[in-house]
Parts: sequence; structure tokens; C-alpha cells
Amino acid sequence: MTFVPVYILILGFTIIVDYFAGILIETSIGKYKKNFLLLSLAANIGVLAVFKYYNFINDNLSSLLGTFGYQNHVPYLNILLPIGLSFHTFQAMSYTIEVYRGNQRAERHFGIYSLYVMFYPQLVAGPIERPQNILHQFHKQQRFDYDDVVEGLKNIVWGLFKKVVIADRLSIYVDAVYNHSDQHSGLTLIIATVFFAFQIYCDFSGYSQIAIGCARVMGYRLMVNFKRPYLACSIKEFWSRWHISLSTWFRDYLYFPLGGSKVPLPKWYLNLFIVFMVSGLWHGANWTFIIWGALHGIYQICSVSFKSFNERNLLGYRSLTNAFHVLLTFMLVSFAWIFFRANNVDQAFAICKSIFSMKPGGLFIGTPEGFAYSIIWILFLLVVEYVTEYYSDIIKVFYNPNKVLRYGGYVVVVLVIILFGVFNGGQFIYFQF
Amino acid sequence: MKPFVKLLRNGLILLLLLITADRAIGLLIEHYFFTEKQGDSAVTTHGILYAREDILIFGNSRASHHYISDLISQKTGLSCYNLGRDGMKLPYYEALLKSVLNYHSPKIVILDLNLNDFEHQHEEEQKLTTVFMPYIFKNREIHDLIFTQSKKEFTLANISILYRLNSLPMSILQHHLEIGQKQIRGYEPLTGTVPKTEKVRHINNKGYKESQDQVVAFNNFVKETQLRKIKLIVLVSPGMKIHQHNAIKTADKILRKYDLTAYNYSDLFDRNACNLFYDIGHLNEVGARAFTDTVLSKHFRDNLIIQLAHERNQMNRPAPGP
Repeated sequence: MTFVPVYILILGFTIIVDYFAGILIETSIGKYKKNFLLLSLAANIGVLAVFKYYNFINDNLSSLLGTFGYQNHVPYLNILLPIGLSFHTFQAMSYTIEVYRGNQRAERHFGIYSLYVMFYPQLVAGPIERPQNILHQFHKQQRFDYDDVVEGLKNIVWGLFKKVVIADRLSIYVDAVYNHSDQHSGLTLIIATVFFAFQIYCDFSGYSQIAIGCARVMGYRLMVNFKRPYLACSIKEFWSRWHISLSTWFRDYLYFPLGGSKVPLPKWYLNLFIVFMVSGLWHGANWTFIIWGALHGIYQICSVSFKSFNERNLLGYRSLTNAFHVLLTFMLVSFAWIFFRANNVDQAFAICKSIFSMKPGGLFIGTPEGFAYSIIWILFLLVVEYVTEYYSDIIKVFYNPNKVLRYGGYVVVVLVIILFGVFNGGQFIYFQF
Repeated sequence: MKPFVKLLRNGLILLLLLITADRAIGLLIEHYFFTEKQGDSAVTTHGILYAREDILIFGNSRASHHYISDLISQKTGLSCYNLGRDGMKLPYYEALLKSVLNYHSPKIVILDLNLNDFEHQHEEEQKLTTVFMPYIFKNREIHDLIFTQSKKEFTLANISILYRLNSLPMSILQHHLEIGQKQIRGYEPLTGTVPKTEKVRHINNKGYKESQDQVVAFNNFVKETQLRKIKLIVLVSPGMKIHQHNAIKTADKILRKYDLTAYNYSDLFDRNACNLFYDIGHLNEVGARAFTDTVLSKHFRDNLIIQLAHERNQMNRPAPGP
């Protein structure tokens, strides 16, 4: 990560454009209203296109022209991707779209609008807020509130636990395997992929929880971004639990405008596919992310096509059938993560080949204690998530009316972070988007 | 009560509880850590606190698997301990040697050099602070090292005992239950042989780049031993991976200043590799015995002669009469 002060101007540019666009959209009528919206969207998508996709498109153009024997003379840009660009650009776009739709009044206070885009807890990796949820909160005068501070701190501690105890521990094994994937057996690659599934979940949901907690300490309430996604019974349900702020963004601003499900079946399938392809592209300018998105698009189409089959009680017992669906969904999601984590498409396909052919070789352990910690923390997380999902009342250690138990809970979690946390685990994965 | 005062009061209670729990649990884990008899940490603990032997061996996993301390003691009549530790490089050997020299001067130091020991490894510094963290208040040298390398780590280590023991409980449990490999005075024997299909690999590492940190650490290591007039033997033990561009040239350049030289045994067992190696980097028990014998005959000839004479004297001495 590099700090380039001049990059603040990018943020300044989109803030100024969207601030005035919002007011002009609200005060205009007819085609002018739409034109101002298009201008705002073009400015935001333009910034994203230049900084995130220009070199990727140019690179692919070079490859394409190369196959026909031509040379691409379009120069490459020597630029860095500004941190959190995809997040604050989408948040800014949701503002002008909502103003255009009449769901949100244009913000007249320039400082408050700037705060909406640059609110530091969620600036770099979300949750991608909607103006209806957050803008009105910035107008209220915040007073010190004991409950908000305590609730915020609880979220921060739990988010930190997920990040440093689980995600960063798993990253040691995942990096060791994925950075030398050609040297590992099929079994090792399966385990590394499962570990990555939990790593990215704990890394990203941990960050979201810290962001939500920081905002709450100051009295602001951000939207929930994760709801135990690996307990989802279907891919559709997975996306209603994973990165909720992004999936609802795509639903409201892309899927519905495309016609959603209220179109002929082939068009519906196409809509689903487009949304997930774009979602993949949003994550990064790399074919690995596009394939990851496409895979989820295909999963969604299959899920819709076999809806009645999926709803059947296949194994006779509802709970057993549900467990089977949870496992199947997790396997599908984990398979797609291979493309998300791999360094390039060739490596991703090589990993798939090694897994499906069960490439022989021993199980790579790394350090025995590190491997054991990884397993223990994954199991711990699963138990906590399962109990929270189905028996939410018995796990509320942080909310227990008994003060001794409650304080005991705080102390144990903090000590576990100190004793078992990995403190050189690097940045959050989603900072790169 | 005003909400801010309430937060302050509850925060103080929580802080007090945290400090108490950190001290109580930390001291308990620390006790078990320093009483480990097996494992990498036990070897480092020996080096930092208890190494009073005549011969000390420094290096990484190759040192710990290649030099049989008991055999060296038996043949030379000098006490010996193998301080080799898995995954370590020269800055670790340097820090460990300095820690030992704080309280003891060995007669002989063997440094097992790897052919790629001078190669750049960017995370060395972080690894060192992690390895030495539990000893921060046990040895002045370690205290100063952590202070120099990371003020943040130093501060955190001062605040929390548990932080010093970060990630260690599992290995402490493992070593107290004596699960896994066993060490005999630091030497960790390996049983088994490398698959017959494995051949000695000659690696043409064109992009070989030296790390100044590693070279400086080696230089300091040599300098420390020479200042204390300790006999230093720098060896490269046998391996099945032989780098074309390697540490020998640089090591010799530094050693020459002190009239010393590095001895390269990396290709000693080229012909019979499969029976003597456990894997491409490490000798098995049979290989370690053969190599230790070679080291003894080539570098401890004087000690062997003295020891032999001593044994002969013992044998010739008349038995004590009634």
C-alpha cells in the first residue's frame, strides 16, 4: 500500500460532481433530470474505468490484436488503484440514483455530503451505505451514549477476533499452498481452499464489524453486511447473507432495472448472469474475478431452474436435507473461491485439475500447531455461528444480564486475541478492491 | 451516574480484570514454557539460559539433524550441545551466540552454514522477534535486540505476558506430552530414507542475490567468536540440493580476515545419497553418524588424540588394590 496525497483529488472530483448533480437532478424536470443523472454516473464509472479497468482492457486488447498479428499502440497508464475506489464510487452512485428516483432529497450541505462519501469507518471497504440510511444521521447532533459506545466496542472486539485470530491464522496456510500450488497434492489444495473460504469470510466480515463498531461508538448505525453466509441452504440465500450491501446494490440498481425476474425465462437467466458477471468485474480487473462471478451466475441459474427439486425433502428428514443443502452450497461457493484466490486463470484451472484428479502426495501441514489452530478456530466459528443461528439466546455472553459472566466473556475474548492472534497478517483482503 | 463516568468506571474494572488475568495465566504458561524438555523452544531456551557446554553447534534444521552431540562428547571428552533450530538463519545464530556469550564462553563453536544462507529473506526480522519474545526479560542481549528491531513489539511485550507467549500454548502442550520428534542434547535424529528416485540436484540459481543483513550477521558471528578466542569451525553439511551460486565464496572472504576457512561437505555423500538422507535437505540417523564421524576426524584430530591418550591412561592405570 502506498500513500499518494494527490489521489485525494479523485475523491474530491466525484464528490463535487455528485454534490451538484444531486441538486440539479432534484431541481430539474424531464430529460434534463435524466441527463444530470447520466452525467453523474458517467463521471463515477469513468473514474472507475480509468483507474481500475483501463490497463486490464488495454492488456486484453493487446492479446486480441496479437492473435491477428497486429500490435497495440495504445499506451499503458502508470497509475495505482486508489484504495476503496469501488466502494465509495458505488456509494456515491447510489446517492444520485436515489435522488433521481425521488427516494432521497438532495443534500445541500456540502460538508455533510462529503462525509457521506468519505465517512472513514466504511470508506475503504464498506458496507456500501444507502443515503436513506446514513445521510439523515449526519444531520443529527450526536451526544455521548453509553449503550452505543459499549455496543460499538463489542463489535470492534468481535471483528478483531475474526480478523487476527481466524483470518490471519488461516492466511499463513493458504498463502503457503496457493503460492506454490503446483507442488501440492489434491487433498492439500482442497484443505487450502476450504481454509480460504473461512479466511475471506472472517477477514471481510471482521472488517465490516469493526467498521460498524467504529461508527456505532460515534452514534451512527451502519447496515449489517454479513449474516452467517456459510449456513445458507442455497446460493440465492448465500447472496442474501454475504456482502449484503453490495448484493442489494446490484439488485436495486442493476438487476431490477434489467427487468429482474419479471421477464421471459431466457431474459431472466441472462439478467442473473449479467449481474454476477458485473459483480465479479467489480471485485477486480482480472479474468479470475470475472470467472468467479460467472460461476455464481451459473449457480443462480441452476438454482432457479431446479427450484422445485431443491425444495423437495430428499433425505426424508428435513434437518438432514437442510444440512445436505448447506454442505452443497458451501462446496459450490468454495469451488468458486478457487478462482477468486488464484493468482491467475491458468493457476486456477491447474488447481481445479489437481483437485478433481486427486493429485497424489502427502498432506501439507505447515507448522503442526498452526494447522491445529486453524482447525480449532474454524470449528469454534462454526459452533458459534450455528448456535447464534438456531439457539441465539444461549450464546449471548456479551449480552448476559449477569455482570460476572458478561465481563468474563469480554476478558476471555481479549486474552484469546492477545494469545492466539497473528499480528503480522497484513491488510484486509477487500482493501484491494 | 453520568454515562461517561459509568464508561470510565466499567472500563477501569475491565482493564483491571484483563491485567490480572494476563499476569495469572501468563505466568502459568510461562512456567510450562521454560520447563519444556523437547522441541525447538527448549533448544533456544537452553541456548539463552543454560548453555555451559564446551562445544556449541549453531545452525538451522540441518544442524539439528546432522551433528550428534553425544557422539562428539564421547569422542572428544568435551561437553557438547546442538543449538540448531528449524527455519532459522544467520541473524538468529548471531543473536543466540551473543546471548550465550553474555554468561559463558564455549571452547569451540561449530557453525553449520547453508549454501543459500546469504540469500535475501524479507521476513527475517519479524520472525526473530517472534522467536525471542518469551526471553525478553531473561537475557540482556535479547532485550536489546527486540528493543532495536521493533519498539512496538517491545512495548507490547512490556504490557502483556500473554503477548510474549503468543501462539505458543499448542506447542507447549505438545512438548510436555512428548508428541513428535525427540531431541538428545539438541540433536534431533531422523529415521527413514529419501525415495530411491530422488537424485542429487545441482541448482543453477542465476538470480542469486545476497542479503546484506545476512552477510553482516555472519561477519558479526565470526567477529564475536574471534574476540573471545573461541575456536570457530564453519561447515556446510551434506545435502542433495547443491546451489551453484552459494555462500561459500562470501563466507571465505570474511573468514580469511581471521585466517579461517569454510569447509564445504555439501557433496560428501553424492554416491550413496539414498541410504543416508531422510529427505533432500536432511541426513537421516545413519547419515548424521557418518557425517559427525567425518567432522570429528577432520576437525577434532587434536581433541581425539588427547581423548585417546586419556582413555589409554585410564586403561593402563593399575586397579585400586584392597
